[in-house]
Amino acid sequence: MKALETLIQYGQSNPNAAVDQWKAAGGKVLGYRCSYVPIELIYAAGALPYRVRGAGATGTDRADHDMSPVCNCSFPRAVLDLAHRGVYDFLDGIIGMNECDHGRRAFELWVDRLQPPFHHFVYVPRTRKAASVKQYAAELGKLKASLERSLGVEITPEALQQSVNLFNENRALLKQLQEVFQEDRPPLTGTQRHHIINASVSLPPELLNQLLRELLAELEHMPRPEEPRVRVMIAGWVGDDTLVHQAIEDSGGLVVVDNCCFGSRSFWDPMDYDPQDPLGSLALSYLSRLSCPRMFATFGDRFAMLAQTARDYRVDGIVHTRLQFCDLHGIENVFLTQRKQQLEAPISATLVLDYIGQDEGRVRTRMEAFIEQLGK
Amino acid sequence: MPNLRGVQFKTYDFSKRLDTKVDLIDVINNTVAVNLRNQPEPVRWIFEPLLQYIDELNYLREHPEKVVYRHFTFAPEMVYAMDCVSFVPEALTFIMPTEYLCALVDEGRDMGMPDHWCGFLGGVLAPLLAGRLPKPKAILHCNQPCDNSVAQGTVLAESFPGTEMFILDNPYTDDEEGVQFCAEQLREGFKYLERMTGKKLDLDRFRQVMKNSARAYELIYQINEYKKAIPCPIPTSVILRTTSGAFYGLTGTEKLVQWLEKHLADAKMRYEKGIGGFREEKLRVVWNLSWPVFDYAVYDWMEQAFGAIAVAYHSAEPFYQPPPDLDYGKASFEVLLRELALRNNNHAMGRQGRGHMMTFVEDSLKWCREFKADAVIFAGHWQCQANWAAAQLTKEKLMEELGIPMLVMVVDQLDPRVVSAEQMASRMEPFLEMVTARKEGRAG
Ligand code: SF4
Ligand code: SF4
Repeated sequence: MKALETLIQYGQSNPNAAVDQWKAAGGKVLGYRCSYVPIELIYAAGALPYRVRGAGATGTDRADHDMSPVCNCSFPRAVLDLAHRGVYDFLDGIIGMNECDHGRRAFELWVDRLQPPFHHFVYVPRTRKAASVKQYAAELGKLKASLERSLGVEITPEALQQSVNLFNENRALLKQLQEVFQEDRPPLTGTQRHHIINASVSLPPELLNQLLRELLAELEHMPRPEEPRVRVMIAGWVGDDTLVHQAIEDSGGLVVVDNCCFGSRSFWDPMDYDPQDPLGSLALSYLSRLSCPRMFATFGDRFAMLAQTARDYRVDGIVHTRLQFCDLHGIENVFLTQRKQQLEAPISATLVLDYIGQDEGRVRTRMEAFIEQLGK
Repeated sequence: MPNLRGVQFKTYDFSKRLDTKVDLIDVINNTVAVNLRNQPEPVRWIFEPLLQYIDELNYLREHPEKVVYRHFTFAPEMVYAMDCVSFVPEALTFIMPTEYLCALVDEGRDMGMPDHWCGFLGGVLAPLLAGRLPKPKAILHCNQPCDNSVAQGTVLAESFPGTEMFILDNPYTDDEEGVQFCAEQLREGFKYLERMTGKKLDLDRFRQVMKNSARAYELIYQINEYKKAIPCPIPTSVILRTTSGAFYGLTGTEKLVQWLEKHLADAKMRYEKGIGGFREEKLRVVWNLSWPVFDYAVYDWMEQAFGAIAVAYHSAEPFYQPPPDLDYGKASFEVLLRELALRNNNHAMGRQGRGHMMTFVEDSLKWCREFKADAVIFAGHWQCQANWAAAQLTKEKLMEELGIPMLVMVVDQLDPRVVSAEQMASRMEPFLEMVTARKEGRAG
């Protein structure tokens, strides 16, 4: 099988064959949900970090026993529901944090109701001031100790350095893959790219690096479409779901870039690592990278990235999305509306999504109309 | 339809949208403040802290150099210690007439604010972004109790792009590490305020403010001790809004202490005479989470229909705990800083929202145990997502450990268009019937 097909298959499965192999070889797998959990530490402890998602969920009724469909986000509810149904029983533990109120509570409920073999909560501050970076470094110290204790290993600075290098290589290769979309007629679709990103958060990093290198080589010889398509950027939050990508691409568009969490934000910036101050440097790097709205008053940074990237990728239009009940991403709509004149490409009205029970017809109609408007 | 038993709920006219592009402080002066000032003295005193806060708003108009924006769960003592005055934008939504609030929420939604965004904060989104509120000298914000507040930080940043903000990262845990982390940031917070206001912190003033604050907490603790009595000596609905608002806004002031002393004397007198509220107490209810700011007659109805007295308000009142015991006159800056950190960490709503869900659960159990509750009503503001996710567990623990039933119902704390007072009564009626029957040994 070609690297592209392999990666897409991994991205579509939850869990996947590589995880099965890892487990069969006696490896441990630890789940996490938010990208502010330092995967480098987990891997340096010898465990595979696996980003839990809701792929495969068909409802949320088990999770809804505790979380409310009246106001709780459907993404963490879908993840929790899968946990209740045993899909995540392969995990040897779960690491939670305060990404948002919904995610934080979903983790606490997972621990309380399902009692996983190992769990750890990382408190991640929401500012980059010195005291907060110091506190986050202390939190990383606690996570390190907890991993060492539970896995019976020592996380040496060398192991951590090696882990940082591996994940930075993941990020660099994903960025290289991203740059392919600078072409007028790139050989990949945005939907394919999204599957690859999903694979990237659920594979051993060595395997991912190898597959990405093979893929980049394959791409050189892959045929390009004859006609360029309407170039679209997705901004906001789409999660691991590909419906929006598909709807755009089935309507004649091409998703060339995004600024999403399951997307560019996960690989845009490498992590800085200072062997003299391993945890301090990692803490600073995590809090300083291209941020998510969970970080205080960072809209300006994200907007600058959005405007610049839209320019760099020559996008014809930007689709703004968010999940229902997400306050953090939800409020950005106000500021995007206020600042939209500063963008060179038109931006859609916010497309509000539900992770589960998506109203597919509505999403498709909205995207068709938007692409049609851009095509004119 | 619930049996209203003669209780009148408010009616509103939402057919016309009110003009929100007006001075909101004037609106408050001309409506709420006039109404409160015209109350007869035996009633008027109850609202003194609200009037004090309105006076502060007016004072700030004359003293723009003292305007420090403050999030409602950021302990106010820090601002008073710097001889400044807090401007809490979201307090305006809390005080102003409901029709105005609803119009402001709608204005925010017109600008793209999500429907599920908390109206408490969302009511001031449009005035903030449109520059209709006073310009801050400094901004103190924090990340408790919820995502709405974090997002509000961006609203402030976008509203006042030239003004540096100080943001307190509230800790997740209640241990000493959490206190120290908070204290260390507050140290920086004072430096920030000195830089932004050009004032120097006067340690004696800080001591006095913390002393006033400690006295306020001591008084509310004593008042709560009286509230444990059967019958509960304090009429609930009227005084609730004032006490709660006072602790969000005025701790550290001498005037709050004076008012609480009156409140305590009243509670003591009623306790000694064995007087309860306005009606006979048959059921003791702990109200959990959000009260209907738009119509406190909901409590009158509970009392009238079932003799159900809300004896405690978990999450709206300051956390029920013994007061601090310190000699503030001699306390060092470090000691005061630690105390201030504790005030922030235990701030009503902040305490339950910022940390692990078990804080919410355990605090609910504690109020119920201490105040001998027969039932709990979880009136969940539909935008309080973190607390909603703790509701089921709270309900289970209350039943398992104390045998107390809990009703879970959806409300919007501020907007009767979402759930009206009458709808609330409809939801509560069968529950309170069941609790009454249970208590009388008829069922359950
Ligand atoms: S959007 Fe932000 S808070 Fe949510 S999972 Fe991604 S990084 Fe974490
Ligand atoms: S979409 Fe928003 S509310 Fe949902 S999990 Fe992510 S950050 Fe939380």
